[in-house]
Amino acid sequence: MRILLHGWETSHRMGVPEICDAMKSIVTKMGHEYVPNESKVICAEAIGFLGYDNLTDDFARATVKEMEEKVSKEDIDLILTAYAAPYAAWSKEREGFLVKRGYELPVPIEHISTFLYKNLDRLKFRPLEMKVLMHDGCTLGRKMRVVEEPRKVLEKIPKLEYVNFDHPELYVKERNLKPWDISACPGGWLDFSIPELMPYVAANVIREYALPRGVDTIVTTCGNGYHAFKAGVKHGNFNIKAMAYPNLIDLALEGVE
Amino acid sequence: MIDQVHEEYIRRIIEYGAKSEKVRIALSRAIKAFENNRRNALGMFPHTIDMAKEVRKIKEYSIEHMDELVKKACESIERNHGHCYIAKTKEEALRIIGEIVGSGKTVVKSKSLTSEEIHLREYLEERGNEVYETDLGEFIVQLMGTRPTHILAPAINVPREDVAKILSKFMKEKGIIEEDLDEQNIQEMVAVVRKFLRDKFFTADVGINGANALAADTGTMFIIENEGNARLSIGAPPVQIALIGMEKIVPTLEDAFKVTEVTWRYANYTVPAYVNLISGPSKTGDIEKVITYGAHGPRELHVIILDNGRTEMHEKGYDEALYCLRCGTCLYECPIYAVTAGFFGQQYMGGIGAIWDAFTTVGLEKASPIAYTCVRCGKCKVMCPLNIDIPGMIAKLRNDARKEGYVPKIVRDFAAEVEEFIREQK
Repeated sequence: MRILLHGWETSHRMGVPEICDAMKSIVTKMGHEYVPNESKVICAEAIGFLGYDNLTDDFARATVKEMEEKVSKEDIDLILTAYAAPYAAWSKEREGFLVKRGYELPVPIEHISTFLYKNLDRLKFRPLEMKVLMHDGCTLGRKMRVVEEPRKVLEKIPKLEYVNFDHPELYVKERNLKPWDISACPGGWLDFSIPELMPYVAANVIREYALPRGVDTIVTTCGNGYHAFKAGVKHGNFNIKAMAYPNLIDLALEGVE
Repeated sequence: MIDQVHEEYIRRIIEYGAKSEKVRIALSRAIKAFENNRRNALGMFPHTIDMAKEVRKIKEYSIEHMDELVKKACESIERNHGHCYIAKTKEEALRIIGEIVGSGKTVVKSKSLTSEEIHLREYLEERGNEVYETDLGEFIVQLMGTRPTHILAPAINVPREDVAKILSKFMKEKGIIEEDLDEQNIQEMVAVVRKFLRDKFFTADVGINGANALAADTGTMFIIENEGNARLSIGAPPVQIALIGMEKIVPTLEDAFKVTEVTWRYANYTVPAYVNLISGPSKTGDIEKVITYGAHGPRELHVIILDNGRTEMHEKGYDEALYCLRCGTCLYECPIYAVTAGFFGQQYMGGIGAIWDAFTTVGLEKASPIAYTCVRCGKCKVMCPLNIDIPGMIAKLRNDARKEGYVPKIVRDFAAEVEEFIREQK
């Protein structure tokens, strides 16, 4: 397959190009070819959330046009992203924003976790002796309920132990709340409005949720969240690692059977 | 202008909120205590979870029929020999209350967000009255000369060590104590405030309160509290004034019971120490069944029902903000609030506070930076007993702000890039 890696420009702009490196590496190990999407395009839905509903339709049209051109020119079979927002907005399978507005991309889009999950039987992992706190991105987890897929993949990595955002457990049980309902946002979206505040928010989430659980690493399915956690670790000078989901997977992935 | 507003807001939220280790520690302690207490409360009374769904329906109906319920509530209050006033604006409410209180009086107040909304204490003080906040947290805030940083726990950002210092200074000046209070002895801090305020309750001319709910059919207001200050403020002075937002009115007494039970349970109480129900002034019929007003409690009850932007909120599609019970859950759950306290807001706080501030206190321009502080992560919506869609309303408020030209520069620049992309594609 030829895969268009979307979120390339965002990762570079935010200073987390390691997400792109991991995405490239995973795709290559799985025997596919990749094409980076260096366009500045973000999902059309997000601009509406930022207060520009007036731009969403034009933006959606422009997005689809650009994607159609790119897919055709590069002979793309699939769009793959580490970011929840474009997946939420563009996925036909999830009846995203574009679909609801009557638009359709020429090829499917997958989030890295759903893509890996769909190929789970073929994935070969080396053991990782790590204890990680699994952070569900707000859009992917709380909103879209894409929660089983990333976990099933983690469970296939030998010796990897993951814990959830499930404190306090009794409260969760009584309201039938799940870890992805109560996971705390490290403030990735503050990047668009008050970037100065983001490290404080992320550091506090790490301090309150990750440190007491005795984990080595906090891993998140949210690209923006990773950016925030990374800033939070630095800000708090914590002896803990932040990882984007693809980076953790890349560390363990040997290839496919 | 918006850029200046945004800049000033960022400076405040970073300097006084995010950078303050005291704020962070105090909130961390408070949030943990809140989570544990709420877990116990809901575990002991799990029916509250389904009752919250009923309450959501009650609120939906009530906001849809707000005008009708205001009229009905007023009729009930008057029938009970209370005086009912409808204030369209903050200024009207202040004028009405100012005329009732006059000047040179002693006033005791129980905690009321609605009174904070219209700056009632400051207004009465300016008119030459001595006004005491009697809720312990509000009293601390009053002594500090700041403003509340949580809707339920106004001094949540102040650690015990600071409280001891503030109280020691004030109480020594008043001759209540001679030595500084022990920084770790909270019991002692509470006792000294009790000693000071006790006298004020019984010498005050006027008591002022808010309400958690008002039943339209009986005119009964419900006031949840734990300290006992509200019942003393309400019961001891000869004149009682209640200031109640019109969104607090529900059709029946039974509805009001449900609203208050869900409120206190999600506000982390199994059961509060007191739930005060007041339908009219104090009265007796013990001598020949002749009803006489002003027995042991107040002989006058004045109820001011406040609009101040609530009707506009309803008309502009922000009904869900009006459903808010003020249980405080969304604040305790918010990752931004956890490091910024009430600096994430103006008069009201957090994501939902942006909507309230836009319509009732500082206006849309000053509320805009608050709306852009919310990350729309949605945890508040999931945790809210009524599942109020705060992220949805934040997106709507940002759009309203954009239409008025109140978008911060950083967001405008990003939107300009998007517009450029659209133009290129055309």
